[in-house]
Amino acid sequence: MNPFRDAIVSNPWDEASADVPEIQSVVFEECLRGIDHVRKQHRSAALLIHGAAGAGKTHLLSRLRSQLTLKAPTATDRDESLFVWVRLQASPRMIWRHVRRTLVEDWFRPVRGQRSQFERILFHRLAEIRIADGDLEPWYEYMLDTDPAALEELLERVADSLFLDRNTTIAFKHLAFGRHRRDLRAWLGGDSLPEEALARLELSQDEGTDEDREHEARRVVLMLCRLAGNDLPVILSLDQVEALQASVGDREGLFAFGQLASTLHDETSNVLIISCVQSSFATELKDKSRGADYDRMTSLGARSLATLTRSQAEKLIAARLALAGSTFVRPTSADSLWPLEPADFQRLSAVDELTPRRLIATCADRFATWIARGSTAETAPVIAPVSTTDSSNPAERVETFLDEEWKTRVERTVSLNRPELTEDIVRHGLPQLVQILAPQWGPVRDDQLPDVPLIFAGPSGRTGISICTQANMNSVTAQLKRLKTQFTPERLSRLIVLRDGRVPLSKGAKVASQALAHLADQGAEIVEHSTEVFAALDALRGLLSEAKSGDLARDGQTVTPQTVEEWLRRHLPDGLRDFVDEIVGNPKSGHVESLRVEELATLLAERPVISLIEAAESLKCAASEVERVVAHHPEIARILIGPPAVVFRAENEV
Amino acid sequence: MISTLGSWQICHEIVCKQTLILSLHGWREQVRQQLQQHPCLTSASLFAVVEDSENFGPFRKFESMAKSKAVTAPSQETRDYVFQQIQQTSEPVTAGQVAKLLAPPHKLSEAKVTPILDEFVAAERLQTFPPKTAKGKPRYWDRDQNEFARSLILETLDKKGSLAKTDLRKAVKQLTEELFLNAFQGLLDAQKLFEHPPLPKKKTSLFGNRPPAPEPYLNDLGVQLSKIVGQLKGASVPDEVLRRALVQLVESTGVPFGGGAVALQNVEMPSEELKVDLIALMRSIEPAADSGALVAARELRRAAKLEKMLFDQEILGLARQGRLMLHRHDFAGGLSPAERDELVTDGAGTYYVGMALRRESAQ
Repeated sequence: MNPFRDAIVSNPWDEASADVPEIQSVVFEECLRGIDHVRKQHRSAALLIHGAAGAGKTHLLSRLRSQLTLKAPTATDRDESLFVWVRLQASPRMIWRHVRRTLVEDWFRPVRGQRSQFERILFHRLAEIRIADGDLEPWYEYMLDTDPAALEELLERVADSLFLDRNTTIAFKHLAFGRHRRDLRAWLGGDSLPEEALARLELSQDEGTDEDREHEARRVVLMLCRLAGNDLPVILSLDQVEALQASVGDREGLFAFGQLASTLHDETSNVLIISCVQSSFATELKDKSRGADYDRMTSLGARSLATLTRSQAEKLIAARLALAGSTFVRPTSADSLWPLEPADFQRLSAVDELTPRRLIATCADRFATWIARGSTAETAPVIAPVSTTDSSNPAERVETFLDEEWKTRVERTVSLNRPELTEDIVRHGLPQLVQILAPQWGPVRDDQLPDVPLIFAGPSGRTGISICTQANMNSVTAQLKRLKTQFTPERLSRLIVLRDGRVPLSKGAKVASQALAHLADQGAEIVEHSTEVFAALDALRGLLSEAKSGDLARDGQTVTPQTVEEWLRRHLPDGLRDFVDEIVGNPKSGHVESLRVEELATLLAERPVISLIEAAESLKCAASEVERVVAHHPEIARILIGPPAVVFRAENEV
Repeated sequence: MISTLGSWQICHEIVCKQTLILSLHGWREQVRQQLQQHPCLTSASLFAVVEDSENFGPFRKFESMAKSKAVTAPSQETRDYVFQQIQQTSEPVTAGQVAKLLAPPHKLSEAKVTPILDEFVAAERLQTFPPKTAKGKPRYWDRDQNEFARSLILETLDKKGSLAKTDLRKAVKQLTEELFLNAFQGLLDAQKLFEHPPLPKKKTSLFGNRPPAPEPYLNDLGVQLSKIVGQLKGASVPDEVLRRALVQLVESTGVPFGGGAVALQNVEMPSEELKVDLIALMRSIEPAADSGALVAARELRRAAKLEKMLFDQEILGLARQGRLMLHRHDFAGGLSPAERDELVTDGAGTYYVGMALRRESAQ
């Protein structure tokens, strides 16, 4: 076991290994003071933290999250708070939706041995008005079992006191009674839900245009913060702000971020906003943000993360070695910096190079070399150059690293992919993909096309992309109808209606089917892509976002976005290349096939297993065409070779 | 109302009015007693106000009417204070300038300062220097003539930029020839004065208080090189091949690529000539600097108004001393040359976007 191998904390919800409290203690204390400030002043505030890549921004958030995690049952006589970690891998025009989804996921997130954060909000609110003495949680359990009517009445009083709207009140009650948890989570997170699910929840969902949905997300986030109340400050940590920028110099992302911070700052009273950026981005943020926004995002100041002192480096090394326990014996001559050489330390600490990441990476290499040479207690520290375990040159090592990283990420994104994420993935990832493969095509905005959020202008005109992946058929229908009027030759050369085969039009959605057919008649192209394509696009945006934020590193050295882009250009899967080809005007398959795909998906939603002949008859086409569609879209359907041949719906493996 | 008075002007006015009345009796002690009722005045400031009125205001007029001014010689403490002020100056000063340097309770008029200075000259604690202008007054300093000459030469170069030796001589004509030549050579030997080779199409060397900036010498070459590179690109020579050839060309002149950091770090820069306190400047740019807020290299560079290389060297020096923490730009390769120029570089491909004060430094 090499105790130095894991150098990056990628998620503050994971337990940080080998935390050394002295490291970044000044900024950490500043964060705690910020929480105290919000709690006492009943006013939201913001702190901007910046540091070099690998200085430990996410590690710091992990320490903060760990510190705030309850070590005992919830109680109102203790200072408690809520934590949200938002990695801003999102389209700027979906920033509120992204925050909403993440906030809800984090508040539903199971915390080891503890209630979810939503439940803690519930307890705190009930504690304000409950009529009994004694411990809160047993009382709640008792009420739930023996007197649900009285509990419901208390919940009504809470809702009244907070001026909650009807939907929120009902959601709050479902939460309290543990009803429809999965759908409730989806509804609160902003996912489109089928009418049947909404009916079960007794909730409504008016999705409206893109702008309406963003506005709704903003309203929900503010409402949820209000629901938490002043006794439960919300620590909203905004990480990887750099990922909002589609390209270098892009201002839209900075503007959206500034607006987000300002609104949260001014329109809530219990939020501490902690924004984490790289130092190189901090200056850009200051220069290009509106002054009023920047003032708000730094209302408690901007703080730098320091590089390590020798004493801190020694403690970090000791803490890491302690992880390995007795699995090895240190050389007898080892000093407090072992496995580092004095020359290593001098080099690292020359001019502010000694970040935790670089220290750990160098130690990892030294440790591996020592193990490879046959570790014994008598073995003197290694004096050979670093990286003796890998003879390839740095460029090759980065290439290999990216190969492995891509493979791992795609596996993960495939397993996590679900149709509700398609819009987020496409709107954030596609502009970056187009920039890599077709840089002559640039994104443009057109306020006259509110249902076409992505427009690329290039040599052959303007191609618009409308994403119709809602599970709610009323929403899809409304959007398709609006698109009919928006799609005119004056505004768009081509319109691509992006559908997700996993969310087919239901058989009852006749108006939606007609609207889709009309759009196709108008010249719109109905396009579907496989789960693998969306997952690959998700992996692409994740890789680029982390590179932009300095969170992608190999051997302690940051891998730059340029390097990643270059690698992607050479290694992108065909599915993503086809996607771009469709946009720039070289579609691999026409919209006729796309319509067939849509029809087949709809048919299989109704009849999951059907003979090939019957399927062909239903779709009014030849059996060979159905076979071809199935061969191209295994994510939608598969064929059992007969006789008789049978087409069946591909189940989502997630 | 009177007890809330705080401004100097109002206090001064009261002194004048009260003095007008009391001067009929003529006694300053009574003025002091009267005004001590006003808590806004400390005894030191009260004394200063009275002294000030005595020297420049109506008090003097009425005092002459009273014919009873008590003349007291400045105390030894005040004399020492005067000497300390002169020690802190960077050049010789006149008696009037010394008087302005004095703060209460040691405030003295020029007339009172002059005999003290003359006493110091007699005791060889101070030296006299010729006036700056024909109508100027003699100046006093605690350092010798040679040091004065060196200081004057460097100050002149700082104001006027690099000069030919003859022009520099004219600019410091108040120095004797011998004094000038001694100081000039001394500065060259101490590497505080640098000879700049003649620029292209010029014949005369210049002298400056820092090494010459290479850009003016390389301008013509840059123009020629750009033209040739353009021609080669037009002839389809790939960028990579051009880059390699250019690097080889530069390295053949003795300027290595890659080892630049070490070379740059070892350059002896005239840091003692630096007039800019970069730490103080950081605090003025970023009020939260002491709390660790980042100051952009670009902003500090603009405020410092130093030559690029000197600025970078100073910043790197402060970082090595542990006073600053530099923040590296990981993707400087993606910046335009103009953007990169605004950053601090170690000359070896590492660029720093800004700096923050270290805690110990801030304290």
